[in-house]
Amino acid sequence: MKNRMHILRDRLRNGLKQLSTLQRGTINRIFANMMLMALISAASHFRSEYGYGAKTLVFLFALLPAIPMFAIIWLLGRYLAGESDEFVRMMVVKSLLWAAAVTVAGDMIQSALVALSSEFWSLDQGFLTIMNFDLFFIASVFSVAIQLRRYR
Amino acid sequence: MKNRLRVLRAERNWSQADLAERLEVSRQSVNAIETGKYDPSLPLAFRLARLFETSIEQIFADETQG
Repeated sequence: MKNRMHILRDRLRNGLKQLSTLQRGTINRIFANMMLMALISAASHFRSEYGYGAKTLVFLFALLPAIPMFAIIWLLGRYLAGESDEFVRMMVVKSLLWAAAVTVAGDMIQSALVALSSEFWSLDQGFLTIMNFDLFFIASVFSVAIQLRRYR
Repeated sequence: MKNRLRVLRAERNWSQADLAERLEVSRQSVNAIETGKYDPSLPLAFRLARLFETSIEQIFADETQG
């Protein structure tokens, strides 16, 4: 088990080493924006937990998650425009499409579960947004990894 | 699309990584082109032709043409 973990860690390290400056920079910025989304989500959760407060605050917290979300979409666009390797560009586009499909499917399953048991799945909207975005990001990374394995 | 990339590369004793470095693309790109899983764009095909000092037709063959 420990040996497997070492192999996985080495593979991850080698994979990260092979990334270009543009790829590494994009991943770091996306990660930072996801952290920001998580913070906003947590803040929104605590706000609803301890009373709703002013209407302006409610409006602000509803709008805030859109900022990192747009930033991530803009970062992906900038990456695709800057990527010089056409094959990698094609792989990333394919991965993003797969990730979008997985996210939509995941969202539908989640909605069905919420509808079935609203007591058990009493999750707030901010948490659901971050969950969808996490799913999108994880599915993208998995899809790229699977494709890289196919063409190694 | 069939291609002679592997042969041309072997003639020069280049690895896939060497060719990828010369073309400024990833090694996966070279692998995908060589195995016929990916057809390169025209600019990349021209770069390949220039690198091997030959024409595009000498590297790639259209399988639909008899």
